[in-house]
Amino acid sequence: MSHYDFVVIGAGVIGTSVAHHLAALGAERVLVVDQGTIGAGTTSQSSGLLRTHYSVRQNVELARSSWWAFNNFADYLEDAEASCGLVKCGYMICSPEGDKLDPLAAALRAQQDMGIEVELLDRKEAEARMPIAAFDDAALIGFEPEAGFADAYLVATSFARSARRRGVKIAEGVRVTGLIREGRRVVGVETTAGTHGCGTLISTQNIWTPELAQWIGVPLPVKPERHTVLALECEAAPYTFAMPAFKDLGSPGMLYFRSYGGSQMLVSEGIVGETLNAPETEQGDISLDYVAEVGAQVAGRFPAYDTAGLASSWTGVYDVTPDWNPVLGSVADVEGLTVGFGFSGHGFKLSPGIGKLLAQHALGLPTDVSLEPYALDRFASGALLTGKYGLGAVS
Amino acid sequence: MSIRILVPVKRVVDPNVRVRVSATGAIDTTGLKMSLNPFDECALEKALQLRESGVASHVTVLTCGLPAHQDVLRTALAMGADDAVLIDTGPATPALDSFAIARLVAAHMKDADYGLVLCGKQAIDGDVGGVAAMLAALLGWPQALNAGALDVMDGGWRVSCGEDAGIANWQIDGPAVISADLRLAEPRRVTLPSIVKAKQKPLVTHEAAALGVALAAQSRVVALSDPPGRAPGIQVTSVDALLQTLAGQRVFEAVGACS
Repeated sequence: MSHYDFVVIGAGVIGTSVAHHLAALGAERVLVVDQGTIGAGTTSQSSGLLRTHYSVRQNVELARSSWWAFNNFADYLEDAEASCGLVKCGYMICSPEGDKLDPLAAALRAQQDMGIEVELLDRKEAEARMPIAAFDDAALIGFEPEAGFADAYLVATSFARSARRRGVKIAEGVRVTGLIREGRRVVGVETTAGTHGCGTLISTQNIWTPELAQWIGVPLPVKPERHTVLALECEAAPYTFAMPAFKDLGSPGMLYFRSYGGSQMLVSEGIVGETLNAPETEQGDISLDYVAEVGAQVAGRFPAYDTAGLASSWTGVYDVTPDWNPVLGSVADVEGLTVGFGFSGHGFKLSPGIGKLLAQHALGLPTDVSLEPYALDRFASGALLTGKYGLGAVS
Repeated sequence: MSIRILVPVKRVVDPNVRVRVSATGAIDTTGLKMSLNPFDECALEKALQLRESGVASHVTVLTCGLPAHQDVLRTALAMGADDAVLIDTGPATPALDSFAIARLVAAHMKDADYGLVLCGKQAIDGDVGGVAAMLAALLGWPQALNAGALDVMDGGWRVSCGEDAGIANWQIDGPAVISADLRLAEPRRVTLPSIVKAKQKPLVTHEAAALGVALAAQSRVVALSDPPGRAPGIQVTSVDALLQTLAGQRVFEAVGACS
């Protein structure tokens, strides 16, 4: 039986980030195992949006440090060839009169208080940045220039490359089938490729976290939720890379948008999706009625998209917790275990920051941001992290 | 000439979905993304182009299956087909084979005046590719399979059918069954207004029983299994070694380059 100081389950964008940060912080014997291949699970389905706009303060903090990493990716990984595919187009968010207005004003103020550059735009200024949209109903429009979108798969493979360069072993196509315990302590993992002892186990199993819950006998509140993404083509009003990613709090689906290159727009709903019975990332069915319904919402904001074509459509899966925020840190009285799950649609944006926090926690170092608000026992104590926009991936 | 074109289509698991065989040896497609068979999309696109150029006056799409399979007919209507027919095959649906489908389509055609059948060369799920040839035989019509190009010429059809070994050009007069490969036409995108408009287009359902076709399958599935896993690759050190290795594995013979 081989022994590792740290074993990470999952080589998605979070697991590979943990591996990179463990090695960068000096950990020596690190193994990452993934049942498939690097970044091929939920990571590959990410829409890749990057912003610091959150109504939950801790998330703003994490998003800010993560943005710095994305914006200086090659330096961050000490690898001149590393790229995260960043398109720094900024992020615009708007709300009409109504129940979203106060939360938006408060969240924008909180960002400014934290020293994040946020501009309030009038309708003319918003139209100048996004000439293909109509802002007739907008009561408040915020714009953060330090935002945009990037490529989650590139980020996962870059973290993995950095980790390997620093001596981490990444084993693909290996499933963990159970844990080895000594009393309350996790001391190893059983896998389809043999048994490994470990000092600390880090689970970044995303929608497969319920497997961990079974192994340790502690319920972990996370469900797989499928969301649909559409790429719409409109040659009359191309959504260019120069136009910001955009959040429409006024639309029924709280839609988010970004350029998808060429004359295509990527659009998806930011509300509760379809809960799946079992964790799987396979493509789900997308009805034409759904396309028409979302299309009508899009056309309400982007008039020319009234006649848009459907270029492609796909589904992705979130690991959703009851308050749409992650659980980070220890679980109950289990020793030698660090978990990160329930990213609820913001895993990619926060991946550099969260990878570092989980690595620090596993190493027994002080964490950059307190993990206390993200503790599992918040679901028992009721100190939930629910965002001011309600359930959904804005948080 | 201004004819009616029939485009028989199939609803299949989306090409981007990885289909798995379950522990019980079955393939379960519940909840998976379903699509119009890509070869049928090419056939439909060509039919629409023929209508737009005045060669055809009307394009009908047809599928055999369950009421839930209407979704691919809606997609076809949104692409531009004029009307759609569902032949409801009820509980017999899972066991339908190419010959049953061909007979159902032929039975439907008895009461309608089609001048051309354009369909995909095969469905990407079963990969049998039997319907077009069987339908042509049942109708007594000429057939051209795996068409990569189709033009109107001398009052008939000039069809280029090809595969790796070469291309055959056929001149066909009168009604015919032509099956499309992916080169025949690049399918257009559905647009948001066309999705809405498609809801107003006629979609009729016929019970398979009313067509007088016995649906008992003449073929049966013996077993389903995942494809064998790929063996790991090897590294060679020179171009010569590469050619030697490929020759040793008889790769060139397989593509007909050395025969």
